[in-house]
Amino acid sequence: MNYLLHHGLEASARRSPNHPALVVGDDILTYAELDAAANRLANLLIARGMEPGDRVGIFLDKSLAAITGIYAALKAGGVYVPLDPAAPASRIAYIAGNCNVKFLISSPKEQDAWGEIAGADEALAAVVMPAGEVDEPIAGPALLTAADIATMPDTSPGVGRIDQDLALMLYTSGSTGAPKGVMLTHRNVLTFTQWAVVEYGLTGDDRLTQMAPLHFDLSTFDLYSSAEVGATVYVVPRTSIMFPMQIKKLVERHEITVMYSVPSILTMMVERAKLDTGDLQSLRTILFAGEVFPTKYLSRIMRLLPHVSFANLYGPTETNVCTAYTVPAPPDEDGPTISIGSAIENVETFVVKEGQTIAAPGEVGELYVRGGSVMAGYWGDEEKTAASRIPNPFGADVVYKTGDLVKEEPDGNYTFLGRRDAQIKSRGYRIELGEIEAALNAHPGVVESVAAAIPDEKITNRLEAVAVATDLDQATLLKFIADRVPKYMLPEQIHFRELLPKTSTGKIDRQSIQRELEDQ
Amino acid sequence: MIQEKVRNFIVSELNFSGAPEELTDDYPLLEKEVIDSMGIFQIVSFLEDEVGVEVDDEDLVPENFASIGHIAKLVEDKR
Repeated sequence: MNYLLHHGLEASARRSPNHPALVVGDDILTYAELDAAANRLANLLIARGMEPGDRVGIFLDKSLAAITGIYAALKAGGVYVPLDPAAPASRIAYIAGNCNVKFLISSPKEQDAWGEIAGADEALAAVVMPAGEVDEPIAGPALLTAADIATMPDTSPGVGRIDQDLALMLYTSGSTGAPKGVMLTHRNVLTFTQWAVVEYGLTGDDRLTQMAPLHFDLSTFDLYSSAEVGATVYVVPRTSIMFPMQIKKLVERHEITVMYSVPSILTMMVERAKLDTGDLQSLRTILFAGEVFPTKYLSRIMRLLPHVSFANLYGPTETNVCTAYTVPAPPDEDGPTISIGSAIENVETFVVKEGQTIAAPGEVGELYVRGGSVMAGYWGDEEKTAASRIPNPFGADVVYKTGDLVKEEPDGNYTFLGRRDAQIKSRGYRIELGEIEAALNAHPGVVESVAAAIPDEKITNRLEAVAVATDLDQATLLKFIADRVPKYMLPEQIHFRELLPKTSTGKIDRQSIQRELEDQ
Repeated sequence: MIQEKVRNFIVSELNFSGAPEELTDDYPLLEKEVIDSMGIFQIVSFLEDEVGVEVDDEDLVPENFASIGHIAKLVEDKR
């Protein structure tokens, strides 16, 4: 019975040891090799003091080493925390310090950030480099390399865990300026990944792309649904993901059967990958999630790839995927937004109006989610956890309040209508406008600021900001906040004003600023 | 010079976060995510509209955008 995230890998390694598990460029690991490599690294972590529940940072580009590191953390009974190598070092250091990462799986390319991380994270015992060498040792934590890993046995350490134990933490944008850690158990992830295996008929013969960054919950499907059945995963490198023809070539060359992507990348492929030419007959299923797929582009890609089945998967990181909708036929290009479907198996959903009453079909309400996929909470933040993960008002257990407004259509499927708060999406990234404002306001020259999302046909939203500041120009301020937030949170433009419009209660009049920016 | 034009574009339009002098001809634009999935199309529009070269879908490969030097070479090849 596979009840922990690494059980799929272990079962597939027994069943089909020589079948390719992971392919990155010209490098291949079979199931037996991946399992053995992860066992060695897990045994090293345990030998160096790893205890069940300890956090392991995965701080390197998507690679064989990164995914081996993930499995090693799980096998050692730990919790893996993917850290985006493209994020500012200060943000990585904050996250490592926030959840006391004990081991950092990394590569020489990231070494410039190690010092800052070690400074913020007293618990850091060692940096482990499965590949590569560095000239200078680091101050503080031990440095472990491939030579240390090679001395360890390749047998499973057999650490006892249960499916309600934490498996990973994904940090998402936080409204008060600091990212927050979504705590996910083995059960949380398997609720989705095991359902997806059955729903989309995955087998060991499937070949999947791995497109999303590891700190996106989309990556859990790529890793664990495929391992469950012993399928092969082709990792799309971080620096290739923005080149539509490259993705198409990878699909052609490796006869990819299943893809899971954010819509903005699929939109780029419609525009720039010449999907009407070439041979994409191997593809049978494209899953998309993370943002609303513009209906025009969904319609076009479905017409360009008529043999492919498309499904819209919905769910915030806190619940992973909780509803799904298989698109029956290409929608009209100017048709309404595509449905997010209905609850997946082992998940219950409610549409809730003000005053905690259930909305009738057709009425707008907030989506509440109950079931195996609902997160354990936010790391070290009981207040935020209690605000969104509440006792179920309609029965037993707890529910997660998604903050998303939906309504139920006559066919029983939900339509997503927007957010209750200032959280927005851009290119699939989830962004709290408050986090951008906190970064702007941290500059001593900034008096006050507003970040705004301007709707955009292809990427959901573009970011702009308005600031009241003294002696500052856009380039200086952008450079300042680029040290605090990831690049996808940088406004395309910062407008400077003498003062910001205020409402009658003295609050910043966001609506008026929004209208002004949209009209430009 | 094309390198300067591209450099100025990256600094002013792609929110390059470092000091402009860091942005040398061999600075790794993709590795450091100076060019991301949005930036790639901004830079293609710039090359087509401001530099006057036609960028085909087939030209959209990492090797052509890895650095300012690579972009300059792409422009030369297309002229």
